[in-house]
Amino acid sequence: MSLQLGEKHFSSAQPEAAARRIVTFKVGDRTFGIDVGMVREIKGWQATTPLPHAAQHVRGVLNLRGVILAVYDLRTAIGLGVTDATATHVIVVVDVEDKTAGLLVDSVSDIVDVPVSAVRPAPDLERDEHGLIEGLVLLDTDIVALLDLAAVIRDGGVETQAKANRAA
Amino acid sequence: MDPLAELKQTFFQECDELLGALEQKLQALDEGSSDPEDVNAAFRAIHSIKGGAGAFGCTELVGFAHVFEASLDHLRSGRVAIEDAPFTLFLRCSDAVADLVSAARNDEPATERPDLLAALEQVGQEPRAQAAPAVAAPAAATPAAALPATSPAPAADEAPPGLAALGNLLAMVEAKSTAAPAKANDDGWDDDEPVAARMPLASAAKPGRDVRLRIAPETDLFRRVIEPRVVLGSLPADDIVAIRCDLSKVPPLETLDVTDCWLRFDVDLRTELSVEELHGRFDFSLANEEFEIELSDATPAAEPAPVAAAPEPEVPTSVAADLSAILAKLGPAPDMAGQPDIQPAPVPVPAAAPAPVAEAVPAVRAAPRAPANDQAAARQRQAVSVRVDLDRIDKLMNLVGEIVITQSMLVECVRSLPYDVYAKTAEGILTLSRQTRELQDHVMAVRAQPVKAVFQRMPRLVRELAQTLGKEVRLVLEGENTEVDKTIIEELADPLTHMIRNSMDHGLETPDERVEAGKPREGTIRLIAEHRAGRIVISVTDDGRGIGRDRLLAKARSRGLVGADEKLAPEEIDQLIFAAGLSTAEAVSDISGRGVGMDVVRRNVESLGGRISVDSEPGRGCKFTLALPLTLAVLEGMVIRCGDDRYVIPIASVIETQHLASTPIEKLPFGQEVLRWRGEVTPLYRLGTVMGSTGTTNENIVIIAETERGNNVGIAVDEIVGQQQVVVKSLEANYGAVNGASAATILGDGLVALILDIDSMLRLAASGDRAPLSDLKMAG
Repeated sequence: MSLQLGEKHFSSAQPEAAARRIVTFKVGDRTFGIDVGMVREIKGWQATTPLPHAAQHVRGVLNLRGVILAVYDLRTAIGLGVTDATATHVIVVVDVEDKTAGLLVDSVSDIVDVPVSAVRPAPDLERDEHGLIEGLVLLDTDIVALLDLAAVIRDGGVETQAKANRAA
Repeated sequence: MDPLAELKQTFFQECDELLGALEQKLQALDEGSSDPEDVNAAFRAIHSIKGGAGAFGCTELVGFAHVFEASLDHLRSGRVAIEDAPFTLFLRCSDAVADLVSAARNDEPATERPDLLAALEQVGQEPRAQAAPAVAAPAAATPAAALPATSPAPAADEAPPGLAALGNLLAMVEAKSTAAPAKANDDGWDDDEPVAARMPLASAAKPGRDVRLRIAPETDLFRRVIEPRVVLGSLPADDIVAIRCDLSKVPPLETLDVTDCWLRFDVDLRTELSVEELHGRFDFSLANEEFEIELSDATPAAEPAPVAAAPEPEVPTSVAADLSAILAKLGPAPDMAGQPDIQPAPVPVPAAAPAPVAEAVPAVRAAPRAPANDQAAARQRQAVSVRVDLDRIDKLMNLVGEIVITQSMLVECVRSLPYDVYAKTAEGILTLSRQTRELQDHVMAVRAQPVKAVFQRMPRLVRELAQTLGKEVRLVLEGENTEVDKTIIEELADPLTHMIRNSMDHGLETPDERVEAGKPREGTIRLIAEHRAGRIVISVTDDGRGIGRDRLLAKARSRGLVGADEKLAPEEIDQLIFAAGLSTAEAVSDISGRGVGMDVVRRNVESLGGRISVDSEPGRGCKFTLALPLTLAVLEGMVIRCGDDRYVIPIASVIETQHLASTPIEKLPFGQEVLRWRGEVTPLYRLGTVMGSTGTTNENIVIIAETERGNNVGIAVDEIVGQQQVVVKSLEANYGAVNGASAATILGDGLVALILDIDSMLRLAASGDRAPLSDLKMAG
């Protein structure tokens, strides 16, 4: 990804007006973020029950206090293979549209406040064919890719790809 | 939600119940009941709707309800004999009221029904009416007219008294502040009624002695769900000489809690009952300290009227005066009253009355004629029930499901403990298991509802269809109080509607055809619900022509559903009615006949774990039987393992299980495996392959299961783990439909297991590779 990003740097210690509060988490060495309001809770990895012939990034379903929700492997969704989940992996439980879902990531890093003005539109990347990245934020050290969660958990696009992979 | 909106919502909920009661009573009357109590109940229902509607400004509803109420009142007064009353019209009017209520609820414009209104106005205008005594106030004997001062009482039979009280107060204010003639009467009592008509009927000539009752209920009377009318109604109607209501304790409106009762009553009786018997009359409604019985020494006066209305000097308040006072208090609060100049006293003007005191009311003349004891029992039943939001019950149910899971987790944990510790805990764990199961049963019982909720929509459907189709139909409902879980109730309406439509449209003949066939003109449809073998069984039986087998078969052949030379037994032909795309109606009507009816019904019913079947006898009629589980919230399942994954198969689908080794497997040309089972060739599916189970599988056990079409299939699995009741959890709520599974559950170790849906699994298997031969043959 060769991206031209602005010069403006800021730190999490300086919240500004009209800020977005973002939870950042890691998959491999990449940093992703979502609005803190979407996060319901963060829990350690827990075994899931696989669903037959689901999209590849659907790890399966688990029981969260009596509610059954699906867990999506973010690593698979961005095309980096399947996460070998261990006890140190983390499931970010999020509310997307009217559903609750789990997002399997490597670890949760931080909560940062980012001025709305600092969110840049996602560059038109061919590789992001499903529109998973909603925007980018440059932090001191990292580029945070803000996720469009609805696109991440949406079955359609990704499933087509998964099917294509299976067919191959 | 703001309080008014909340009240409004409560009102609409009550409307549903009231409409149900209204329709039910009218139906009973239409079917020949001549019980005046049915008339009264119908009247009260429409009156309560009108009162509430007035309070919430639903003018169309009030207008219609008013006219409706007025014509029902003719029945109560005897001006129109019950036998002569146009109940068909009344039933259509009750449908119209239902429409108006739902329009008001959804804030939609209401449809005017001038035709019905005009017809209603005609009621009681017949010559017969003129022959009746020319008393201008037939309402004299109505509860509505009976208790002007007890605002909560008049019509609030089914409504929470507090709300009704508010409704009546608001309606009162509104009625006074509106010029609309239709609403002038809306205050819950008939103010155009001459007071003379209220003159009590107990005369001095009557034997017995004079007794004075002072009834001073505690302020929580309404909250005990007791109304003054009930209290007064427990006295023998004929013994009552006069009732006075003392309003002096009623606080100013702005500080009045409408659920408080501040009313006091003085009742003059001329009765033969002893003091003890009188005590007995109030047993259920009043505490001993809430009333006093005084034996009066005064000899009865010769003239009944003055005695009846005898002013009571030591009781300073008359209704009129007191209401004036209340309304005067209302005056300076225009925000509540709406109009600044409120005329006091929507009660008869005392000047017009022969007696100086206007409140002498022969209220109990109007008391329902049912024995007081029955009524008492009914009241008490009502008093011990509460209205609970379904959401709360759902949450409770969810929590119980959680406890069940936690408990089975505990059981598994305890097993791994050393023996001495295990022994100590085992008993406690066992008790816990039992209690959890009991808890679950009780919560399920709370969720149970009578099928009445669905049944009571059917008479209207039948009426409307009968009119459209030009058929004459009588609908008989039985077992309306059969209870099922609310999850099933919600699923019943659709199949029932379809089944009834089918019977009305295809089953029953036109009146002329029926007469020709030597049957009564009027067809009968019976809708019966009962519990049988842990399921609810609902049947729809008609006495129509039965299924036209020749035509059905011809059609099935022309559609290629049945081979040209295939022979079918009559019963098998009947079952074709459930095949997709078959409709035998000569002309496609908008009632049924689109051919999407019964097959969709069958699919929906079976997806709920139910069965639907049909029995037909040509010329005699047809019977649809629907059997559903009592709940969708839990099911009895067989837990199986395949590879690393566990699944649940509903026990209802399982026919038997056996070792695969003992059954020879053959392979058909396209690769589909089949096994011989009881002389039948049964297709075999390997669960691990179909469901994509992880881990290695050996699949040496076969479960013979039944599909929706009644075919058998074999499903190869690794292990049968056990049988248990599982809590059904939706996969769709947070994910979506999963092929091969209908839902999921949580097992003892907290992990999720899919609940298999055999038919969906077969479709999944068929989509994965070539459809197995058996499936092709099964098509249709």
